Amino acid sequence: MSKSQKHNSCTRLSVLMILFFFFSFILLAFRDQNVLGYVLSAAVPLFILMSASFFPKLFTTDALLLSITGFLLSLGVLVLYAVRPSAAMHQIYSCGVGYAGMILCMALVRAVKSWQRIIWIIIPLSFILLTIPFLFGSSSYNPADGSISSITGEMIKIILVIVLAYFLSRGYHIPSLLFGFVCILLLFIQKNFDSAVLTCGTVLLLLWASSGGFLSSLLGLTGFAALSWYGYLYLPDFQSRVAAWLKPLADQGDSDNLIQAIVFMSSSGLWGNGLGLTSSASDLLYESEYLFSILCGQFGIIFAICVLLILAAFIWRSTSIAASSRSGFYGLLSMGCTIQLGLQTFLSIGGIFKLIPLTGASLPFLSFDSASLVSALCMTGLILGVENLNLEAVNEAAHLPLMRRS
Amino acid sequence: MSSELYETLALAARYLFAFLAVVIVLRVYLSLLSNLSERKKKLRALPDAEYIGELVVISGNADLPEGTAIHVPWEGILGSIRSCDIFVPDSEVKRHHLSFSFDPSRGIIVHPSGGSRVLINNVPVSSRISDQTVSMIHGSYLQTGPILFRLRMFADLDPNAGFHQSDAATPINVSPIHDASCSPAPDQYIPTPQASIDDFCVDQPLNQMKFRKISDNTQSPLPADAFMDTEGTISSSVPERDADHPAASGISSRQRRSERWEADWSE
Repeated sequence: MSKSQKHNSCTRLSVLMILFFFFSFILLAFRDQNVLGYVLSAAVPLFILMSASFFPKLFTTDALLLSITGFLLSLGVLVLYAVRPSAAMHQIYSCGVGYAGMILCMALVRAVKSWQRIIWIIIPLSFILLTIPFLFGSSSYNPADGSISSITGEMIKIILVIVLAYFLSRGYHIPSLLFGFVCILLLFIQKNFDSAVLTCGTVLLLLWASSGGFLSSLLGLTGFAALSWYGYLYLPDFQSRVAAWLKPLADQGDSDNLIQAIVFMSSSGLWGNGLGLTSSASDLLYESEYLFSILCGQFGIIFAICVLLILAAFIWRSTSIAASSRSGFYGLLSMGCTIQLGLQTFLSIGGIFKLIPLTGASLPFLSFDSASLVSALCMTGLILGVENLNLEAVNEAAHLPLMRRS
Repeated sequence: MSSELYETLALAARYLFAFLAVVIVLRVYLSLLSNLSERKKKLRALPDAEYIGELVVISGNADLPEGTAIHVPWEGILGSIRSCDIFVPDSEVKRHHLSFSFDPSRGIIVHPSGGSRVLINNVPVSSRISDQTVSMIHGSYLQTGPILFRLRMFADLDPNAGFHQSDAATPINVSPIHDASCSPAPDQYIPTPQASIDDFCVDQPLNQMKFRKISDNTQSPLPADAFMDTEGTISSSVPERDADHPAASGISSRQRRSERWEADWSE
């Protein structure tokens, strides 16, 4: 496929996305008779067009990944606008900050040649970030409030991936395990369970991806099992989440929202209740874990499955970028980001469908959780930066003297 | 707009949204698959794209005969298990014998695993030696266990080598291999896939070494008597290095390296 064919492919995709968002926002604008609705019906399609056509040329990176990211971000804004327009504006501001972070991370990957000095700066920084909630944070963890614990937890995710990629690419398994364990322990103590579980999963999977070592993976798994057992025995929040998962109808606390979400999803049917016709969803909105159930309710199960498939395509594309990377560090960096986003999706969807206990993880790019949105976009920026390096490497190879012909 | 009218429109729009979502998913996966196949085609047309050179076996064994050329990626592990980037099947080579990475300003940096026997240009290298002092460049010898290799690096990988883009062959447009417009110019020199012993003769200064125009792509190993000395025995010692040989010190001046590159890739 030539460059022009590739461009046409993404352009056709972006046309479909533009049609979808234009009709959706126009419909909501008719409902509210609000100028904001009409503005969004033009602005969001323009953003989609820029994501698919202009930004990939400007940054020389993957157009498909940018298109998918643009689609998911816009879908999150759409769902929030349908339920509560003020929440949509908050989400748009978060998207703006996140996009700036994404561009910064892309530039960082391109600009930094030696990561050694950066690593030894960000390791102590991560420990400082993890101790800040003990000094200034509140005891309850609520991601929608943008609490200090949630912000530091999201920043730790990015730092963790960079540090793990650095150590594991050099074969230092024990330091990476130690760093991961300390982060997990501190997050656990803060009751930031979704970040703790994500961190644990990332450490284990990256360790296995880099070395395939049975002993080190077993050691990590044992540590995770021990922490989980400790949490189940001694932490009331942890116990209540497990109880709500095991017997949602018996428990009266955390399981109320879960039951409401499940009923909401099952009542939507294949086609949904209709965009903007479900006002009772706003109560679930501020629990960022339940956005998928709102999506199901508005658009139906067919649409929800399509969104999951698009998220799966994002993970697939990111994995192939990691596999094509020339250096171990960049491969592990992009793989770590992919694992984080994939695990976050699994934790969010699995919790809503009662496959696993609810951890509080939000759906990446979609949920009403500013810190999570910004960190997801920053991780996407790291992946796009690696793809930029991959494309550069292939273009360089095309200009080398011809060595042999196959 | 009245609520009844809006409700009708919203209920009708459900089917449109579901249809658009399904079509979007199909297009996304089609793009994914076409990107993958395009990348495979591109790499097939550039078989050396992900490598920095070759390790040519000077002294091998039954599983790795002399003259075999093994691709060297940008970084990886050399060892005796198949999952290694460079697979060396020998009982004296450890499972993960050494790790290596390519630095354009220094060459291939080698990190032996603990207890591994590695010699670079006849100098033993241990895992405790700082990586500042251990590197391989074009023409360096590497010995792991009883297997002796010599490194042949592709030209133009080092921007300090003096081999400028303007001196390089005309950049090719990457296209599938069956595209006839991509055939090389008639006078474009392509090194033999297998090195002949003459190319690495230690009596011959490196800047006089030549690469032949290929006539075919057959990859035959070196003849069995390639290393035989005048008494008919195969030499088992590593050839002595020339003190002025650029590979001897591991650090070569820019001028000498550029002379060698131009000599290597010209007739």
